[in-house]
Amino acid sequence: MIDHNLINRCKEGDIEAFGSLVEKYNDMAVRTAFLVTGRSDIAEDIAQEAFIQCFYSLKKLKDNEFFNSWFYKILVRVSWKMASKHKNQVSVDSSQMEGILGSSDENKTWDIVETKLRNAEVSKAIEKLSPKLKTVIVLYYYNSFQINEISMILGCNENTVKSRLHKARKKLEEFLMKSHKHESKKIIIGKGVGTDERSNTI
Amino acid sequence: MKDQIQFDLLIKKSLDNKSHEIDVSDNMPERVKAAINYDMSKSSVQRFMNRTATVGLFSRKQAAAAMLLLIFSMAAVYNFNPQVKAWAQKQINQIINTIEITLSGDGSHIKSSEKIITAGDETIHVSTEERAYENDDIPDVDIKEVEAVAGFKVKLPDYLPESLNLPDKVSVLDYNYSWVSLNEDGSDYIVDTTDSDLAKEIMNDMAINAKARNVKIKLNDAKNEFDGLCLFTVSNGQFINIYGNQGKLINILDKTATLYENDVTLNNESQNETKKVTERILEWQDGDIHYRIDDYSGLRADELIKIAESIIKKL
Repeated sequence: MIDHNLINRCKEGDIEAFGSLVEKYNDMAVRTAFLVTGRSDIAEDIAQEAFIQCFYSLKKLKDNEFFNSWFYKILVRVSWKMASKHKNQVSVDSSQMEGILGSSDENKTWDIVETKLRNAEVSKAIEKLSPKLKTVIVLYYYNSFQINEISMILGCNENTVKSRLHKARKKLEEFLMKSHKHESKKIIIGKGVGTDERSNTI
Repeated sequence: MKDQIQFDLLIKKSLDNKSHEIDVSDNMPERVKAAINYDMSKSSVQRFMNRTATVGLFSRKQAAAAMLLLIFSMAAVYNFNPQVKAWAQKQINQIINTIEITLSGDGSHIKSSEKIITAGDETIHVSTEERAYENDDIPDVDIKEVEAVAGFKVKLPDYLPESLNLPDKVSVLDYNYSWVSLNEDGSDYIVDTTDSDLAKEIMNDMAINAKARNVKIKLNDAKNEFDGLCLFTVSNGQFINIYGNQGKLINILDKTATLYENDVTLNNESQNETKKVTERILEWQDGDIHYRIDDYSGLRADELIKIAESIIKKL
């Protein structure tokens, strides 16, 4: 639900009101930046930069109803830019596999382990997508934006969004098919699950 | 269908799990407010420089460009001192103001404008990119209105090969996004901001006067060179010659055009792909106006010449 009063106060330059707006969007903004870039080390910086840009240009937003998609447009652009600038720096992120391995004690059923593995596989597959495809996937599945909203955020036609979504799903399916065959062998082997997969994500 | 729903749920759940791998600190509102308060206490130029520092300088060239901006900024701050201003102006070798209007294949429109400043060995781009709208949201305007914005007549080709198409409607849009960069593709940028007023203020502070304007029209649906772009540009300023004197002179009717043909390797960073293509650029001058076609779609030289002929023939 859009808080028109809050946005109007922000438009008038009320910094305290803007603080409240940041508080409201912070969690989702940081997590979205993290998912789009795959970089936990710069996700907060991205969100901060997006909020600052948002403050300075908010007065140009004519219809408050579109605040959500308008803000995410800024966030996505900043994410792409900053990820591109930091692409030569290595981000160590091994928490995913540790999470799986740490919970896969003997008391857990194989179903749970397998579910977690599937999630990890999907997560890894999403990481392999190009930035544009990954962004569409994140906006659609994580942020629950509609196709028309994503087209506004990305500044492209709805058909382009649909086509990217379709392409991303296909690619994910392909990745998962390959990965599944690979992982199945490991599960059969048993105790070796994932140990040689503990590689760092860049 | 059931499989699709399960697959959708799996993606959703996976993203949800992944998103919780990061701890989100709750001091963001305070950080943002502090940054804004600090910004507000500075002049526009200082705000810009501060933002540059926030984003970070990543290369020697960027550092040099930032230094250059600082010099210009100083010239602006101390603009009562004509000697300082004259010195700063002298550092600028060339300024090109570009207006780019593109009609993409899906019917959306983008207008961007850019200032290219060269000073010594450095080139700085100050760019503004304007919102792409859907067809229903914007009034379409024809080339006459574009001419009115550019300030000169734009002669369009009567002939185009089947693979190309000429948009007869373009749109003039409001500002949405601005940045300052060193490279044309924005890959080596200094800072970006959605505050176009701030960008314009900086440009004014830097005492930049436009010397040339370009109207750029995409002749096919390709988004960029890698996708096979064919771009038609009309300008009231001379184009920058990046190939020295390697062009081939060709007589087209009563004009002399220059054809550049180069085998180039294009990169598509997002897909991590490269491909080799032949880049063909045809340039000619008609009165005070300069024309140019940049092709990456594989058009032959004779086809480019035929397009140019159809433009030159027009009164």
